Amino acid sequence: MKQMKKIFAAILAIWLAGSAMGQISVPLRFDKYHTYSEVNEAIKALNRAYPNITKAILVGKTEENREIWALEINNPQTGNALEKPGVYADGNIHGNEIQSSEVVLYLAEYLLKNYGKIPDITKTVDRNAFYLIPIVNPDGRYHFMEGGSSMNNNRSLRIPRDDDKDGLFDEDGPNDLDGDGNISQMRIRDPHGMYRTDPNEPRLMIRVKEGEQGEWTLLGNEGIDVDKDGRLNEDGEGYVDPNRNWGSNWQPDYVQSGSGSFPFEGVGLKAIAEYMHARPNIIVVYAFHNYGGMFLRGPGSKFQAPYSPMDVAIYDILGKHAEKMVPGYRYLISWQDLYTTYGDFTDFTHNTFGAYSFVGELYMTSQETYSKEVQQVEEGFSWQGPANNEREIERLKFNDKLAHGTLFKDWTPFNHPDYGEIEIGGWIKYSTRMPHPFMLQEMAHRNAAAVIYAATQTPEIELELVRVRRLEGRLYEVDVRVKNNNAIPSMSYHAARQKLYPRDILKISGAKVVAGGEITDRFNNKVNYKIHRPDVQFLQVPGNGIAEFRFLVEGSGNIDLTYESVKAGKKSLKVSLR
Amino acid sequence: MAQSYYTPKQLVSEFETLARGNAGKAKIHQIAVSPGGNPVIVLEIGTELNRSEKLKPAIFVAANPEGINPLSSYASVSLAKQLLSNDRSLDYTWYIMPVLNPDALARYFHEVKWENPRNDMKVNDDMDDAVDEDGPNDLNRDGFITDMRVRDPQGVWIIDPGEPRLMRRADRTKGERGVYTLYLEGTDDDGDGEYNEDPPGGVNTGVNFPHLFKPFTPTGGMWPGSTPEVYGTMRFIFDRPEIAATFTFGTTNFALVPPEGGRRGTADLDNITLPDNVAEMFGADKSKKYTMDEIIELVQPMVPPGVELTPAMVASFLGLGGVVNPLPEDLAWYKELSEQYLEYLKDANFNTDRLEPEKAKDGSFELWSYYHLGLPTFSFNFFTLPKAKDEKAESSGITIDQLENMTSEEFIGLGEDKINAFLKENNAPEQFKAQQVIGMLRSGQTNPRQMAGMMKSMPKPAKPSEVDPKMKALLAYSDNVLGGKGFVNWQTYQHPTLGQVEIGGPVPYVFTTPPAEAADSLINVQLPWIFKLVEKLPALVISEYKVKSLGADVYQLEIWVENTNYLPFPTAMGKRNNQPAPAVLLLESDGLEILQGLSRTPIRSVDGLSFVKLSFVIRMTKGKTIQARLESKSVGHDSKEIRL
Repeated sequence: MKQMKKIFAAILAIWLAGSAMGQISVPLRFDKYHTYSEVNEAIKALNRAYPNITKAILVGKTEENREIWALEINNPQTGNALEKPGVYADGNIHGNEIQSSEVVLYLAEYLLKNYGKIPDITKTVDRNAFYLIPIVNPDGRYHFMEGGSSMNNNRSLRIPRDDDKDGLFDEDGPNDLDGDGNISQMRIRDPHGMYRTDPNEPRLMIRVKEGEQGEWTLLGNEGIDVDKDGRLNEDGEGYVDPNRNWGSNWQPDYVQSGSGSFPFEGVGLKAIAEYMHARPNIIVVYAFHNYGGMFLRGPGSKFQAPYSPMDVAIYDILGKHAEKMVPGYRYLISWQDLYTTYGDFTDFTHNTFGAYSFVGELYMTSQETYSKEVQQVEEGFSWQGPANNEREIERLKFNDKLAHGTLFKDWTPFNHPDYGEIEIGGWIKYSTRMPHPFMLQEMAHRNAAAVIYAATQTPEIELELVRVRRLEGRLYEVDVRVKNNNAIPSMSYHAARQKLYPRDILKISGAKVVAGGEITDRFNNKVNYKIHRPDVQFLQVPGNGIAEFRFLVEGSGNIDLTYESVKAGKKSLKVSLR
Repeated sequence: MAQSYYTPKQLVSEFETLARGNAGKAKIHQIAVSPGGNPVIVLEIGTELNRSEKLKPAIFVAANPEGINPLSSYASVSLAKQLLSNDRSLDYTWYIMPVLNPDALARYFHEVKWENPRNDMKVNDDMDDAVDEDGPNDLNRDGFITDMRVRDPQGVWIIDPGEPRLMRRADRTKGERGVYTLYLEGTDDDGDGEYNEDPPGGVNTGVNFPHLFKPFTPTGGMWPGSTPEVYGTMRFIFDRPEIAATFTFGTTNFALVPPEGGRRGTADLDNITLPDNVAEMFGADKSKKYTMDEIIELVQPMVPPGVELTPAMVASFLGLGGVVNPLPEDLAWYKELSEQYLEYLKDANFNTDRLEPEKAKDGSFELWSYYHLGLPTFSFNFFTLPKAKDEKAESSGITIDQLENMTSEEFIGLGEDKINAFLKENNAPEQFKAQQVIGMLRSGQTNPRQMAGMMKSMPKPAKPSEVDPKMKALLAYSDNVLGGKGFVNWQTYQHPTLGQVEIGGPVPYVFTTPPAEAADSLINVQLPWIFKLVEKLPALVISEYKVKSLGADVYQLEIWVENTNYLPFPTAMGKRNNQPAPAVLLLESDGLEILQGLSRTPIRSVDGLSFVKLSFVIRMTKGKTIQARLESKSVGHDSKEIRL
């Protein structure tokens, strides 16, 4: 009986855990950060609330067997998803960059709740297929939120690596000594240390000058020397960077730390690549990260040829709009304006799938203000990170007055097993790289709007009859126009040049096609006739442009024209010969 | 003696039989299924089959990476049998993959032979509305896909005047005009005006590995490892850090011809120029060249405490790129071992006067093994064509100008052979032979001056080109060894769209695949060298220690770790890429306190036949012995009891 009770209690506990997840319901809240299981629950809740136009798809599993979920939005009434321009957005490839998932969730819900209410949204939902993966790296998010972490830990895939080459794997990561969920900083009082308390702000320290008395030594991240090798936290999780392990321009670990052993060593990444490969209609990709306030495009390294100028023009349209939609964000070229990367995701999707691909680097700490003025703070990249005390003092005021002290852990005494009396304190994991939740919704909305803008620019093809002219007897000249109403071409110039997949196909049936070809100069009547199989023409339709064809056909009655594009859908047109 | 080579299915069943017959010593791993549905397998042979973490080091053998070398798969079976037969001591675990590309191998056994390293992945080569719809066709039904030559006003090929079976490009700078266009044998199946442009099959597994992978090529695959055979192989190998060396059985021969250098672009870590913005960021001199160590020294103080900069971090930040040429330290042992191998082959009376093995392809398994795994990487091709013996054509040694000033007697005195040679060299008409010319001179019908004048006015001989030695070897081999069966002589054929064509050319596979009956004799000579090479792989032992009492319970302890074999641990490339798992020396004892040094000391490298010395200062409060243990994945284990 006692045994039974135990089992019952266990079942109850599991059921309760399940129903606790069930607390996530639509409308979603964007004044908090969702945990890994809450995000998955949110995907299912959206799917339950909008069953006709969504699918929740299990994309794959991670190294630690967590699930990667996608929410797909498509209105089957307006067509099969694969026959519409696909828009892909994801987040949280780096486990610590958690607000990116909220942006993707927000985008999903915004599209769904406004479908049928806001005409612009209705149109894009009807016209596009959306593929949304809020968490690319569930293991990372789980450990970041539910374990001890700093704002910079738990980025990695959970592939153990022997960082310190002592034959042991991941044996000496940081430790949450005080059990507050944060890996903070440790300092020890030391009159010969390199730092002293900042006279302007007792929570901050400044470097002592030559000859000055010190007060503190910084001991680094919270932790102990687990493997007793005299070094702290030198062999933590991974490190395999999930955004360096994709199969485009990949380089091994000695060329770039964190690449992993081989492309797609990460099983979850491989699953996502296969998921995308099965959805060749994807033409826009947005991958959200933090931080810095940037929209980045490739290439990731100078060793790759620069992108085609025609493709760059399209990126520029999308990127320059995006940076205005999210004030302070800058539209940049990855390798040139930041640093070289190999094997990153958006290079892969650009190079392999021919999708116009952006990284959205969310958030700037310069948004943490305590000031009457609206300021422009140029946030640069530096090895040292933002360690400017003037800014830090203002951030602390922001922390005190707007976040009510929740973003900074005050220095607190702790008895360290190796160092004795030390202090632990500093910015908590939910700070610095991500906004306080009160700022989350605006960030999510502005960035989601950038994705929606790109969606509205995906190719919209129309097939038009220019004219039918009878030449003699049953021989007709049929001029047809394929028109793109939007900025993004029906396939990228890169995809066309590198032959990633066939160009769009225009086919004519129902009559004998004697000759046919693309009209190269419509004012002077020049046609580039295709000698073999003139009834099948291959084309690319430029952004806001046209492609025109002339067919000489022999027949009578109706003929059928069909247009089929990997990314821009299908169209058909009936033409009467008379 | 082999009557035929193994099909992919036979290879699997052959290995399954070996595994069944040697339970406890051999087992099969299936590492992937090819796009054509063929299993890709690895036979594990060793004494630790059921240990997930092996103590013994291992060898990985990748046979037939492109699937077009049935001989190399055959060799892998021979190797497995040898390992399992006699009481060869299994000091290593052997992982033997009989074929990386079973789909392509299957094609060797098709009714129509077409040498093509693509697996069965569907690839739309011509980017039209159909996939794999226009492959070659065996028009003359001889069972081979060879070449078609078609007279074509735009042709760029001519029949080689030196060897009428061969074609070569017309050299317009020498006034030659192209006559023929060459096609692969076949029809325009899809009616698009192109011939055989979308053949069945997709990816060549032999060029789908990440080192120097080339994107956007017809057969390379979409990304490195995009095809399951290659992905499965990479995962299998990285899951087994005990792998100490790889052997490739294919078309290259690193045992004989070291991997090729000379590519542009290896980053020189001793001469790094910093880009302007980076130099500014680091406060460095942008006109100076830095070593990697200097840069680390420069930058270390700027990174947050606790972060240790590695060369990889710096290299990646600076975008220095990877290594593309074999490192000189490695080339030194490659060369030495290849010289030894050549001696070995000569001693075995093996004809080494053969065509060079192929160069390793970008994206190949063997390049990946050397550059990314950092392992000693050897390869064998087992067969290339013997070089054609140069028929020393008798040369006349005289010119037309010399003839002009000779007397009839002097010219006749050269003898018939030389005169014939002279006539031939100068393009004299066929009917003019020495005998006839001698008669004419003797009878006074002509004299040397007249002859010279006539010969000067004759058209210059079409210069027999330097016939491609590879083709020359092929023809000699076909004629002398295969009874002509290595080359299909050109025969006319009425082609449905091209009109009259001629079909002919080298028989598929002939360059790399001797008749199966010859396989054993080739392999029996060459295969044993593998065991010689394995003996050279690094092996670490704790060779010596010294203890010096410093007073009280404090001691200085020195331990020598020796590499008892020829090859270094790891290779220079392995040092550079930091990939091979380190060896670790552990000191263990109750009451041991290490005052200086580590309880786990990584040993990153030990040169061949040399030592590293590790020094410790220790304090022992109780007991008098310490256990020193050497642990490694791929260079052995050892332990020593140290008495204080």
